[in-house]
Amino acid sequence: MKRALLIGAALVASACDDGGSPALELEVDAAPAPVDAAPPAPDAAAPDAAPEDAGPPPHLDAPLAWIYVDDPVTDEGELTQVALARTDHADGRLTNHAVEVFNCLNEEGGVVATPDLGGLMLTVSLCHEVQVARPDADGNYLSIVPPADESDPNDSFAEVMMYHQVTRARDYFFERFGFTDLDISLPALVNVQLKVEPPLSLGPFRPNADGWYPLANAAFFPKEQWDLFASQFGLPPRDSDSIIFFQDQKDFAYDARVIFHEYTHAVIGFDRLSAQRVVDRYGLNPSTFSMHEGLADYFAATLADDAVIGRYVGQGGSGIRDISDRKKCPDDVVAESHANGQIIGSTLWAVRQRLGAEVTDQIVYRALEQFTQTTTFEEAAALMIAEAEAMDPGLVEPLRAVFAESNFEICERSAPWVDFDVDRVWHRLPYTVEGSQSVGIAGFREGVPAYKQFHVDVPAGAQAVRVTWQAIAGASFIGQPGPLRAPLDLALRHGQPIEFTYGNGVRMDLDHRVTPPLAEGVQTAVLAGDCLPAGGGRLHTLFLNTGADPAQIVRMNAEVLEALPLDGTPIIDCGGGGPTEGDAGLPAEDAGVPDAATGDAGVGDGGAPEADGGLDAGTADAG
Amino acid sequence: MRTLVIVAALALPAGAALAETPVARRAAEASVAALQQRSAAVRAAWQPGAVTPARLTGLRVPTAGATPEARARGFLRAHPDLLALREAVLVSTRKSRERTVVRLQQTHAGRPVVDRVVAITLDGEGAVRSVINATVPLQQVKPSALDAAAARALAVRHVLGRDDADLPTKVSPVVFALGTQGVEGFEVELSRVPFHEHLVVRVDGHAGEIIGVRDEVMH
Repeated sequence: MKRALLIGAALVASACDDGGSPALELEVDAAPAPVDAAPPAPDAAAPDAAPEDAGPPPHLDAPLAWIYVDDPVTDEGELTQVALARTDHADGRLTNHAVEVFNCLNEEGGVVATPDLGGLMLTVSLCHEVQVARPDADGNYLSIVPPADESDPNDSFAEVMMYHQVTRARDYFFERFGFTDLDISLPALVNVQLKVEPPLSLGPFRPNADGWYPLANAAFFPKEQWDLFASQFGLPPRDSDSIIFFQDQKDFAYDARVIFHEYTHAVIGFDRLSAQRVVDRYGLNPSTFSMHEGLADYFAATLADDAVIGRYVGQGGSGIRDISDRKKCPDDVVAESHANGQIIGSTLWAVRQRLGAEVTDQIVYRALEQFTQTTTFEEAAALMIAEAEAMDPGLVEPLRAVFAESNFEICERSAPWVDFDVDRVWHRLPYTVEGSQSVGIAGFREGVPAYKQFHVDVPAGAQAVRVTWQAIAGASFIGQPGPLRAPLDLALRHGQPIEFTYGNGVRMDLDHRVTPPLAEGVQTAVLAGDCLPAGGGRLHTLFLNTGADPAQIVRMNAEVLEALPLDGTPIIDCGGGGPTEGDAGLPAEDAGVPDAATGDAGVGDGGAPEADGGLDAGTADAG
Repeated sequence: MRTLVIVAALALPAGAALAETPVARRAAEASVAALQQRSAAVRAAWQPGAVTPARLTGLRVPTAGATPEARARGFLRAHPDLLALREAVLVSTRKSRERTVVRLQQTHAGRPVVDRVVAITLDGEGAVRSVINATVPLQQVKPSALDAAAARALAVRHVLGRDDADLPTKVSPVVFALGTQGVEGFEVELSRVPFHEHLVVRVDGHAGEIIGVRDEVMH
């Protein structure tokens, strides 16, 4: 670890001269560290607390401590000496108006449970929650530095980092926006690990030699989740939410932006943006919950004034996400919330580049204040535009211009069919099509629509379009992924996207629905005849899952053909004939094969076009 | 063009309640028009085919009440056709420097309707400034055929693959809604790995089926 002299700093807020929104400034501490100050070597660290024979350390208003301003990678290993906020207790344990930090020690004393897993009795021990860090004899915390081994599961440096960075985040939200909902000493646990005896491999979790399970992550834990956890261990419920930082080879508490990210989750809470998905005119919309993640990234980045999130905890120092890398709808729409959240995260970062941090933060936060559990990208954009207009009408045009670059305000969620391979895309995520037991919405009994549509531009004169996809049944939380048991259907519409309205039933406007045969996880069909727009044009398609499990599409491809293929690929012409063996280039109906799997005539409209009597009162709501 | 109804199971008998929808929409439109007559700054946004507005901005409607919740409820009582929200519980009251946002969740026969919330923003003087609405009047709610214990057992079996009467769970009766149709059900919370996951299993009580499993731990 490099050591360097660094100045003490404290976050303070001051009002703008023009009486506008308060600005946030980093102010050099009035009592900077001496020029020759340097943190002690990790291996020669002084004891955390004052010697017993000395009197209690003084309770300082602004005790000094070493921290990473950002993280070990960004800071190039250099520690910065800062003035911590005054602690609430005379003994100097790390509790104040913003946070109450616990070190979860790998020792006996933590809560223990003995669940019976189908006859297998286990003993699950949680590490022991203790507020360990205490000031030195002079009232400062300068003896607490990163351990030589950053996988140390008991170090107090993680406590100091958490205390300082949560306080910093709290002060930002308070000073800039007047946010006070979390002025509650938010419980924050660091170095969290579990022990299971006998030691078992639990999915991806494998115990260390000492039996403790390292976990590489951090999480926001709403109060209700703690209560369920506590009931398993006979613990009392907690009064508030909490944030939990785990310990693996890297200590997630050393990464300030990860702390900011989790703290922002706590700011947003569970009464905003908590719906995992909603329904809208194009099918399922995953933007709601992903905005929880995207806004957590945005506020972490703007607080740090750097677009990279998790530079230390990510692999190779490049971070786990970089919101200066622009993502847009519909191309980058995926089901996973962190990846999908980069659409809003990167859009807002681009706005920040255009309008400045101060203005952008205000626009975003003031819109966020009004969000519901089901607010979508489109609705969020509308609220941000309204807030910008209220602040200064001149902000609206540049804001909308940036939004337009990523289709954030208006997005027709139909992307071009591309040669997709899950191993070759930036997010490394399959295209998920939820099943009836994963969608979380009652009512999609005849097929759950995908999160986005794909379209092919069919030239005039083209004879066919060959579509192929490979999928597995992804069980997300339950069981293991396996082969797809039921084929996916494909809805087709010429010229415009398939659209849904929601009233006394769900109405889907489409032209055809087909079911290419499933063989070893792959579905292939040649769409021809009436499946294609007459005279050419855009063919929109939408996957529909009639199975219980979600389907994960890992590869897909579409190819426009000038002639019907002779390779035996089933041909579907949507004209009443079924999939056929494409022989001698004959159109499907000429092949005389009976209908077996096309959706349109037999399944697609169920023989009941307009069966809901033209229910145009359906709502494209957030169900 | 052909149209497919894919939720036959939720469709009402022809004519059962269909006539109410345009009526509700017209009433909501009239309520919006009345607000716009008082102030030209009022803007309303509607989702395609929706019965009630999704968003009202530009408002400055004075309210009375001892608390922000009372003011928000008073606003809804004074404009009963605007959202047609007859029954709601308080989700949260959040206050910032300049304003307070009250969130009310739609309920049906005492059960919260999942994700159906309206956020009403009050300024420092207690006037309503915006309404962000995800509630929808329900025309029919199918009753649950399961009780809470049966829903819990179904959820535990789905997650663990076996019964476990001792596993701590929390079971909440709810209504799941799609469009103007609802179904009674349950949300069952449980965890297999403490701290690592917090699963919420959704059970359609009418059909007696699992409709979703979600891990709510937020990383």
